Amino acid sequence: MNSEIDRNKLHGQAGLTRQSLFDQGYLDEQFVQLEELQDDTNPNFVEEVVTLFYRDSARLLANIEQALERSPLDFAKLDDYMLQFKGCCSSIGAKKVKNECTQFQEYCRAGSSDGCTRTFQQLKREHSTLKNKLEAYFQLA
Amino acid sequence: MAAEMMYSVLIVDDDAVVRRIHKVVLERQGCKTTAVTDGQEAVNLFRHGETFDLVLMDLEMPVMDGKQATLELRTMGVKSLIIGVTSRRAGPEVEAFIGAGLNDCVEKPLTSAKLAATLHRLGVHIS
Repeated sequence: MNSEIDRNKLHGQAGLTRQSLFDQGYLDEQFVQLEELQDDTNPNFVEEVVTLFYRDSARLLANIEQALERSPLDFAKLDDYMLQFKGCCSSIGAKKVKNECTQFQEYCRAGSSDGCTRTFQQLKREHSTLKNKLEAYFQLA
Repeated sequence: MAAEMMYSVLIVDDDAVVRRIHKVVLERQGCKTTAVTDGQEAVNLFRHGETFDLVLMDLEMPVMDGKQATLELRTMGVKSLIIGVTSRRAGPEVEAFIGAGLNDCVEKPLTSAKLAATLHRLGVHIS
């Protein structure tokens, strides 16, 4: 009985954690689309896709970081890299990270090095924060 | 359903996340899927005699992008439906992509609803 109570408690916590990710703007409707694709055939689909995202996005972020170290900045290339990264973020519903991508692209169009650098730092923070939150959620779910 | 009767789809995308999502979306609809990571691999499959009912083609890919791959497939006489799937909103790059020979173009990410709506628009019924 204790284990059933513990399971119910964990389930409840998972639900609250999940809801907070939406309420706080970390995730959008695309994450729900992923959840709807999870079934007996693909029982860990959401966690699998998120893991793939973090694996691939690390490489994309490294490309952007390298491009930001060049002088002068190639804003067209940076915009292209960011478009690719933003596409990845859209695929898992990473809303806050995606918003930072949009901001970064606006700074690229404005030709603002400071804006790009600042926004990229914020983007990395949001990317990392979401990773921690999703890891915590998957532990409970 | 026998494999040979299933609607066959070729997923062409360099993004592993997108390939995984599209695979599951399509297999849920009863499709048989094959995935490659760039346009050149897609063209090579057709050159080697493979056929697909539908190709989901990403635009930006290394080696050969989606626009070039679509041009080559149409030049080869490939009649498969080709749906472009891109992160780009409407604009000159998307128009050029469509002009290469797409039947339709949708914005990523593909969802079950978008796929159903697009296939309906194209008059395709996956049985």
